[in-house]
Amino acid sequence: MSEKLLEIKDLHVHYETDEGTARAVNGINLELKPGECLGLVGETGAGKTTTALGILRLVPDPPGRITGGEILFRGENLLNKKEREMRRIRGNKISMIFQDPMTSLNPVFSVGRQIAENVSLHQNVSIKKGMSRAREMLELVEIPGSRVHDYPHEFSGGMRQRVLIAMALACNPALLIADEPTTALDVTIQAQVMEIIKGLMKQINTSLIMITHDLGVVAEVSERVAVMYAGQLVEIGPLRDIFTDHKHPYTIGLFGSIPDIDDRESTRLTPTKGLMPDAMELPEGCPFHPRCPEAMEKCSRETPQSVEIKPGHFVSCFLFS
Amino acid sequence: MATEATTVKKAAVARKQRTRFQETWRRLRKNRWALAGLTMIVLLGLVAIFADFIAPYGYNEQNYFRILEGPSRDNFLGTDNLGRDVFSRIVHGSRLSLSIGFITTSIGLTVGGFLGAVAAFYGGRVDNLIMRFMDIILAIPGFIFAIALVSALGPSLTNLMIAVGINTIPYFARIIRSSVMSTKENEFIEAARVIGSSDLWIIFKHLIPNSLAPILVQATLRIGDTIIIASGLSFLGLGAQPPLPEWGALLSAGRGYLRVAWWMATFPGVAIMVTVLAFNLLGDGLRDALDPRLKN
Amino acid sequence: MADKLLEIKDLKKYFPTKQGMLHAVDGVNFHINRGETLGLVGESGCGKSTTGRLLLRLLEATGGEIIYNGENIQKFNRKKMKEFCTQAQMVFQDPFSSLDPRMSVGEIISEPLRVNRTHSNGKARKKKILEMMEFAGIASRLINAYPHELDGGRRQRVGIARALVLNPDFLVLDEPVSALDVSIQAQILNLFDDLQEEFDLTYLFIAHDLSVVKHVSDRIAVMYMGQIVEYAGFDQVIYEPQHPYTQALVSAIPRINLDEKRERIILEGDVPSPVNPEPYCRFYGRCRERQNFCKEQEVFLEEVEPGRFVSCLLRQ
Repeated sequence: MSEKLLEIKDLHVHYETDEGTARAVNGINLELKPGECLGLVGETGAGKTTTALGILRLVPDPPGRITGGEILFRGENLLNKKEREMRRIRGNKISMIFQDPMTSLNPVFSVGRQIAENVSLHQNVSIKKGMSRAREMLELVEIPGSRVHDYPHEFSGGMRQRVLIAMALACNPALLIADEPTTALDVTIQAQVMEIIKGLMKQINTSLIMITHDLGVVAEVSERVAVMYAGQLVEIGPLRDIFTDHKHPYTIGLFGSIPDIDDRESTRLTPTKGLMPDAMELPEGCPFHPRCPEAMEKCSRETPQSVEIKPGHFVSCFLFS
Repeated sequence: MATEATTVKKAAVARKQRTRFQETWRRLRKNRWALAGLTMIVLLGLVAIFADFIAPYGYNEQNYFRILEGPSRDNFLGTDNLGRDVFSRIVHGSRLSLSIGFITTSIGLTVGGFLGAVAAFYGGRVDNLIMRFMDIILAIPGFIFAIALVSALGPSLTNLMIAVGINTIPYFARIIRSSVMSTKENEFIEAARVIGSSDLWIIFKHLIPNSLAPILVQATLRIGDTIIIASGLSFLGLGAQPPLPEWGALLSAGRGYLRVAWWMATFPGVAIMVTVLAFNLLGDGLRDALDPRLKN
Repeated sequence: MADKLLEIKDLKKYFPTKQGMLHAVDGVNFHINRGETLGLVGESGCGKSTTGRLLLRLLEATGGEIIYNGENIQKFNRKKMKEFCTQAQMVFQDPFSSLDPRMSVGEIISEPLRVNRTHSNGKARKKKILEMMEFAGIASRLINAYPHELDGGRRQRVGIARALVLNPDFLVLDEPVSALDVSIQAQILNLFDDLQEEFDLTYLFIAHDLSVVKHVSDRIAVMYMGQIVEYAGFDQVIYEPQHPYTQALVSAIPRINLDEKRERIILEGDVPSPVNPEPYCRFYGRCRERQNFCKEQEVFLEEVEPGRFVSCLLRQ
């Protein structure tokens, strides 16, 4: 179907180290429509960032390697592209913003110049044209255009993250991947940045993959939510289904871990016991079964397939198949 | 960007449950040059320990029938102006040179290490006082300082070691100071303070053990340097006195006979060179192996 | 009347910098009753961690008093200070840098015993370590493991066992879960809850995230630029915040309840520099409700209703 912007089919990414193979991403299937916002949720080591880097073919190699699957962007498999072709896609049609706004900007160039160079590189326009685009973009993220000549150290953390958003969107990408864009920021600053992202998503027709461990952030921008655990998607569905009617035992534990400020009654959190398995020693069968309160004998033998339990709401768990 | 890759790596290290020593050793083993250096040092150490068995003659065993003879089957590195076997003198001399290296470095390490740790730990005026004093020592050319000191105290092996030892103090003080300064920033130092630890407890139990890696590298490299300085002083007649077969002294004695008996000066020179090279190779290898940024 | 374990009066800590005096903590007052938890909440750089460190004299205060159990701890000599250490302990934020990488789990937990020369008998000491490990939920087989072999959650448990080994009454928890993943965070929060009951502990829980302190705090103090702007019971602060800053902070918490509609207050700009602050309300520049008179006088924390203190001229 032509209305899919991105389609990931059975993606596998492994890291080969001296100690063995870490299976960071194990068979992910994901689709994204144009203009859609998807929240990709999971804890440290679940494989969220690796998935994102995989889409951009930026998995550090060595030790990382994409060992299988397809990534179709507008119907073309990115995994078959030459490095030169990928460079034309990165920062242009697919952009990414990272967690740490401090290290993502080059301290020796003004922010305007950094944006302008990106624009002139991808769109074949002069630096001067690029600068006026930079000014326009800064104003879009509510930074006065007069600050295009300022250097990164002259901005605060929250403003730097906004500059990065401006830079990522300067070439009108079809897809923006945001990797924990607000994690390093204070709550009130995070609110500013989230407000800007939300506003921008309404204005421009860019798809967003919001990677985060914070379900509160997901609730604000996403239309659909995908929950990752140990390199696999355990549950994916519309925002409301995932937040009010989550089915996978891991998702239930995840929501049980979060103090809900609006819930005045509960006095205790109900997290899943134990730890996520090491990517080098993933258990047989369902990766969650050693921690799962509902584990059955079957779970340690076979890997569950994704089952559609409601329109658009998929769960990978034997309880539902 | 590669945060996940690094967590994966961290997990890998954790999984194998290696101590830091094993980890360092594993990485050192991969470095061929460092391993060569280590092998040479071990061999030299064995030679020094078993010198009495290895050397065919005593270090002062004179044979007036064989003066200034070239390498032969009986004296395969030749003989000197008193008919002593050059090979045996070098073998016995390894004891002197290696112990000079180790002892002077230990002096520098303990005194410099303590001063550097104290300077870094207390900071402010104490730091200023100690480090400016170290700067003064550094401002005097090392060799001249040692010559002055030995001349004042009288030439002997002990005074030589003291002089060279003092000379190395500032190098250790600086290294340890900067290492302790970065260790000090860790929360576990505050954690130690919270339980009521005394300053000395913190310095000896936490700061120094965690600052050891660069010190080890520096010490290894310094041993080579001190052997050279000590040999130089002995060469000038300020160190080991005849008939002690210190390598520098051998070199000095051979200098006068360079035209007639090249082997007298050449072989002690080679011994010095090989030893210093070995320590430098090992030191460089250790530096790489202990650097967490070069993890592979 | 509740029994005050700790009370601080007009606590100040200034750091000299090249630009001038940095007012990290500037006239903070609060008390903690025995057995309760006070949440100290604020954004980075507001002085909350400095306050925690002042309470244990890891830093010396520039001014003010710290009264613990009726005694001013700033007047303690070395011997009294050592005794105080056995009563008041701290759990640190970073589970990676707060444990000495060269010590095993057993050594880390037993260090306070060795430093304070209690349990000199090796057997008794080991028994105590194993007991603490069990309380903190660390498997006894890990006694000889090194910190780098453990994940963040386990490391934090080691830090907790260490803080408890001297049987303290009071714990300063300096953002103890902010470096952890949500499910581990929840496990550790539950552990604090259990330990408080088990050992009758009093906590000062420092956090940048209001929702984290939800299940553990009885009262909350909100800090902004070295001062407390609002100080009240948990429900009062969360459900009816009064200070404009607290209102913005509460509204900024990302919610997981999709049906709870609320207006979000977006603050303008960033936190201003705490170097040489002006002698009026620190929040003035970002406040939505600022009035001209706010700039004309100093503002102090005042009780506006029973148990609720607010530092805002508009509410007093």
